[in-house]
Amino acid sequence: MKLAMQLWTGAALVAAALSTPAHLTAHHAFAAEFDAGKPVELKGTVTRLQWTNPHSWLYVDVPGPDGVITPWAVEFGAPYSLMQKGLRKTDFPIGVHVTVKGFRAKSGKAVANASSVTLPGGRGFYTNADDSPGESK
Amino acid sequence: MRSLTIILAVALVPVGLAAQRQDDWREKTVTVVAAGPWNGPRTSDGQPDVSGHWSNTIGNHNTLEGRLTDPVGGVPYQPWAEAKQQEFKSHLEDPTRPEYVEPLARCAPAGPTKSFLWHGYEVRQYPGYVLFLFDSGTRVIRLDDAHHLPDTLKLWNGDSRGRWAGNTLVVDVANNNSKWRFARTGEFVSDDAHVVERFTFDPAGRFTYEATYTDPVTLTRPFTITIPNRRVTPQTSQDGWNNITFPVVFDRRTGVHPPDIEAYERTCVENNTGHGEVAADGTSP
Amino acid sequence: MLLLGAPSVSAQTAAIPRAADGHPDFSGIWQSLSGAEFGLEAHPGSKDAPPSVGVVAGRGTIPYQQWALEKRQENLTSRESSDPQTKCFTLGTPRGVYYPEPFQIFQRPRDLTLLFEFGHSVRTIHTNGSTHPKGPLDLWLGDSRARWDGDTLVVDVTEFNDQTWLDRAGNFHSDALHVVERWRLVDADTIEYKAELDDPKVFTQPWAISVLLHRRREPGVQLIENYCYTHEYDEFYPYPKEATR
Repeated sequence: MKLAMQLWTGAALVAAALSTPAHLTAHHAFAAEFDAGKPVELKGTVTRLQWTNPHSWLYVDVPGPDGVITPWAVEFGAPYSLMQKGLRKTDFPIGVHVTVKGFRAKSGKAVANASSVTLPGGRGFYTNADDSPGESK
Repeated sequence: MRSLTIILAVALVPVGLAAQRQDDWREKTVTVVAAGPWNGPRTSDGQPDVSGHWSNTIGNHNTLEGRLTDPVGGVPYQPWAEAKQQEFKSHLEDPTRPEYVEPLARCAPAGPTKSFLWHGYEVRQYPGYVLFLFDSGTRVIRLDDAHHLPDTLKLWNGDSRGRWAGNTLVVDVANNNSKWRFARTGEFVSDDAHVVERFTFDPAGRFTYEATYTDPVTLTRPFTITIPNRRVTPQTSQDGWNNITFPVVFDRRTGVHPPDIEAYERTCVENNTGHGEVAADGTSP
Repeated sequence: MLLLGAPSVSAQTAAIPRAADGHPDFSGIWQSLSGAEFGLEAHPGSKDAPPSVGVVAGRGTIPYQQWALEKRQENLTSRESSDPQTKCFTLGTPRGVYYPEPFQIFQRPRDLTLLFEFGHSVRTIHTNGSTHPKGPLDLWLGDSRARWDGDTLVVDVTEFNDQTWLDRAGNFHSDALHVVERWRLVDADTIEYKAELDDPKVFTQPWAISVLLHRRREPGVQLIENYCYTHEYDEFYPYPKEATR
């Protein structure tokens, strides 16, 4: 957990300032599937959104520097959690441009767990696969 | 440049973050409700009326640390069971075998006790029944027939038979299928386990959940878990975890209604596609 | 039961159970015998379905748009793998109502709770004067808001996702599905269930179905937890029994 905190601080200044790393403990153990040591920032267009519990999935076509498009699958939050933050399915029409920050799957495939998403116009949200308050007594 | 813009934009976002007052729910002290008579409202069939939305006040589903009240410390396992639990715990973040994948991560029901360590839930009462609706499953507590199902039926949330004693709902749980885990540290009990739960309610809006597990197959002695809980109300902060409710939208043609809350559909779908992307070769157990 | 000089209320209406608020009480365990699950339209007997005249009112066939008719045929052909029911996904509305496994209705003034034994799904029909929340919500069972029309419960269901089928024969819908149900106790042990389905993305016009639901009356009958979607991985949890016995 401590190691993850250090990596998080290094990877995203904004996140460190405005959130605790507690949300890294998710519906399923984040570290079971995703690598806190592989932060990613994806800029691309939405091709599909699956609005389901316990986590939604956002599919984003991300062009590489060479112009080749990589389809990414990004794990998102539970609908009720996203809706409580003010996000709705209609915020992600097909073709909308998004910036997603998160962590890549351990397998190295084009799969990530999203920690934040920014929509056109600068609307930004912290999104996690089932935001958990983390450990406490 | 662009990342700076994003940083500023995100820093100005009030919506999601301002609503998360996590301190509302993660209480530093555990409030224990004492057993006794019930002085609050009652349902039409005379049960203490405890219907509505509730959540635990500890916010921790990762370990049982602090939840074990008798004995305090670890679960009193027999050596073979402790070894099994440690094996699961050590592989939680490296689930290269199917049995190491936390069942809750597959959307399996959480089990009778773990369900209370998870998100906010709802209680609905009827003559002869108390229903607990979790987003990880449903528990039906039957009040009018104490006979359990045949022992060959093993269930994720067990078979629950209860009765009210003053302010306490006493529930006897059998038919455990043993497949669920108490926490991410991997604690489990066998399918011979028997559970007695006590839900002790205070009309002011708290209850104490206490579950005593007896299992000669895995344990050296019974153990008791205690979980404090509090009501979720229309005034409770929405934190996406303890409070997963939304304001009810009333049809103005039906008159004036006091504020109310409701949860949306509790369906967990993992598409049965194994479990994520856990192995370097992309296979999923 | 028959009183001399009683008002001329039909014997059937007088015999239905009522809740304290005077509305018909639908509480109980119910199940359809209609065979609608095997196919809503008329169909001959086959290896995996008994024959039926179907449950579609009036015209008897579902008024699909042309593209949807072809899609339905694809579904039918691939049903053993593509029917979400085979993965024990939530059955949806109205399929859960006529699926050949019981469901239990719990009723209180503000809502009816439908607990389906298959998958242990829970559907809430709100009778508290509330209306649909702002969508789109992509719900498996839809969002159900109801009002009483005399002794008939009229339920408006919207906010569906497109993930469920209407039966085992590949009949389907989109996320634009809108269902209006009418629940009525014919007698103490029988519910007449009618549903009108509309979906401008899939059908050319609305259509309706009707089935009866029968109260399960075996002594001691109860729903048994059936989280069938866990069957795929049940075997992996939690410990090898041979280590303990």
